[in-house]
Amino acid sequence: MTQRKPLGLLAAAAALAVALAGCSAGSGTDKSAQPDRTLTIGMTSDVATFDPAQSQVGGPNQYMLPVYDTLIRKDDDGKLVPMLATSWKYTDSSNTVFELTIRDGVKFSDGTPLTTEAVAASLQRFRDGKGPRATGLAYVTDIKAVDAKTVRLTLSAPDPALAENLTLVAGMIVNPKADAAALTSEPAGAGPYVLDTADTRRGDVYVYKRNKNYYNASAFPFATLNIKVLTDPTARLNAVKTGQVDATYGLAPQVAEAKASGLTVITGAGGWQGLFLNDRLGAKAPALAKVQVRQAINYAIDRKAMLKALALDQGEITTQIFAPGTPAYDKSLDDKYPFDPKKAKELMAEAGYADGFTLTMPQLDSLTPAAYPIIEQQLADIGITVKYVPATAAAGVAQFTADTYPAYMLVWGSSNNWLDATQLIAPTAAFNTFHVADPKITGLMSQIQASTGQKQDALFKELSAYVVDQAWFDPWYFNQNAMFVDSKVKLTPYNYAIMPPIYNYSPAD
Amino acid sequence: MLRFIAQRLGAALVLIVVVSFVAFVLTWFSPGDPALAILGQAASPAALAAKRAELGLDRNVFEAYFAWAQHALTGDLGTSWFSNRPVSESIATRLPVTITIAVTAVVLSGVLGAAIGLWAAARRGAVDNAIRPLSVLGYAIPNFIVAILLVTIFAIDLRVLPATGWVDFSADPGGWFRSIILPVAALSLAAVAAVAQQMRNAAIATLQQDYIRTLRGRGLGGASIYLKHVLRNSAPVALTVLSLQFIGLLSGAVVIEYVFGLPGIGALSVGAAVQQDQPVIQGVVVTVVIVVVVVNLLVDLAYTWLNPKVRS
Repeated sequence: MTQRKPLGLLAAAAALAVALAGCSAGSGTDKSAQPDRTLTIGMTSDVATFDPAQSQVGGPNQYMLPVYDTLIRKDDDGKLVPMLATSWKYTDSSNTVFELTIRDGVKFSDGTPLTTEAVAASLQRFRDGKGPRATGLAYVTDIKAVDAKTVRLTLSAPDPALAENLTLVAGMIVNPKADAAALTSEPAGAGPYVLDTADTRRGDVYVYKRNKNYYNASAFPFATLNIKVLTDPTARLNAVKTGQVDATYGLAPQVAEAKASGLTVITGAGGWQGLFLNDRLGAKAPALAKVQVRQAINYAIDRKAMLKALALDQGEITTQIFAPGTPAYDKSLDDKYPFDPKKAKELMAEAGYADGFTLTMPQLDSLTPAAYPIIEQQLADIGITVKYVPATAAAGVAQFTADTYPAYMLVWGSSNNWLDATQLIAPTAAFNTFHVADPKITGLMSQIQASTGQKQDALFKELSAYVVDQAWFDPWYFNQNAMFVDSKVKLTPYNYAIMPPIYNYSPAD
Repeated sequence: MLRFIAQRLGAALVLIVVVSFVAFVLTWFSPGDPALAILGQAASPAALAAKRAELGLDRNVFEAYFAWAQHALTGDLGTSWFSNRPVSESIATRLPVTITIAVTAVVLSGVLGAAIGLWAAARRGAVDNAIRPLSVLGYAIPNFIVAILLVTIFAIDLRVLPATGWVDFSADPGGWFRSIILPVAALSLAAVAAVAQQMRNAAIATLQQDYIRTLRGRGLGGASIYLKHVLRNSAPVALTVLSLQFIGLLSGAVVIEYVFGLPGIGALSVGAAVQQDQPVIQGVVVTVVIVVVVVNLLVDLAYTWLNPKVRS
């Protein structure tokens, strides 16, 4: 039978299949062990620019901190510690003159000395650069290199977040000799590393080599740092499981799997998730003008159940918008609204809404979808009918800074108390979408602005207690950021950053 | 023949204009303010207005499109609003990744699919009975499931292939080959199944033709009949399937690039679409349309080569 004869084509195909199989079996495992230590980090998003004056904070910090030292550094406990500036203080009683002492003998990566003039020029450039974080120096009216050690900032009004901002992009000092236009892709700073532009493939992998002129090289044991862009969470977990990356950002649902495959899971405090009850004057939803209704919502949502359902218990329940560990945070406030539908119904009746009302909220396509039916159910139990409007993450943050919705669910990355207050509750705050001006809040905030130290801390606590009592929000829990780390690398725990800074990494042995 | 190509190129030009305009309008009118997304919620209204003017968002959609088209005609696709990189540069570094994966997958599916199809047609019986349900199965499983399965087995459990990443051919050919095996395998499975199925049916139909019987009667051997006559007469069907598959493979590559963390055009376009990065979206759309048009043209030319009847 001719039909039974082997075909040349088939033989060729079979040979190809064997070749593929042979190759896959033969090449062995990835041997990335090199004489020089390398750290490879898997990042969730790409970096837009290496120019601090045009950069956002958060994710981009992972790419920026290796190449730019900041004036001040925030340590793992949230304390401000020296970096390029060895000390800093206000020199007047009204907190409008701020002086920084600049570290001696520091050089930029190209060998140019980091002088006080260079610091002043960098700050000036940042303030005038109209970048996304330029508001960080908005109160600064004058920047002057006083002498070889001192830089003086003069402010139009006290800014309790000034030092905090100098730990972020505003405090990243740019080499004055750098070509400003090229900064987008060629960073020029005084950080522990320099970007190896030859080996870097933008959007895929960024390769950093040691800065030979760095003043504190021993603090960074890795000769090479690679940052790989891996947007897919599964791809990130697979990459760290197979040793392609040493550490990467993980999601709560992946924690169990990561632990089971022998990875170390390091957690840090993240943002809070809950409802923004923004329509506090009742422009769109008149019921929200009643404090009892807002409190009723706080009693109606079961925080513990939300934490379990949405974050698999990776986090801490809260009622506050200010992060644990910050001056404004008061642990005892977290017990203020236990899950109590009966109490919630009483409050609804007291406010004159015994029969409930309809609340319109956006339903985002990306954010913890499991939350929406729970909110709907638990609010229905106290008579509130939730009507969802489909919304897309692609429409960006603008939909949450407009007065479109009386309330919405969001995750807020709390950081510095003053930054949070100015963005969430001040009358002009972007997320106080109906621009509600509560005299008590405005009063406390101006007192905070004019004070320092323990007095300021006490005022912050008072502010947090008032916001919780007035139920401007319905926060459920602070989630935890999780990092998955392989056995080659040690990572010390970190807080108040989405990703840990590179200072926290060291070799495991 | 030249006239045929000229006609095709003319149609392609119209297609590029229409598709790029539709993409532009869709992005233009989708909700959200790119200036706000770039500068963040803390930006002042003046800074936002300046950014909008800088991005050209203060014009009407036609003006904006023509300004874009004018630059595009000179080869200048603009600069990404978010990454600040020239769009043509991003595409130039990312297109080779996607094309490598997709073309390798097409070649592999063509060769393997044809071989399996011919084998099933030649043997029939048990072989055919086994291949038919298997190819339906291969076609039915979504490629990202295949991808996750392959990664779990070959990268995580057996540790023989990398789970993610791309290696440049010039830097390390062996590493490059290893890095494309799993993505190509995941992408090809459905296409192999589709081509095999079509090839089998076409080959069986060809085998029943009188001239095949005549050839056999003249004493021609099996291999010669299959390779010279059956393959060539059944190929156009497989080729049609394959050209359709190629376009599907391009879009499949988007998902595959995500799962394997490959820096291809798919990852670029998803990121740009989410951010409403108009210059990048436009650049990707035009590039992909050009690729699809070129592939279709090549397939048409291959048809005429395979089947002289089409030429007239």
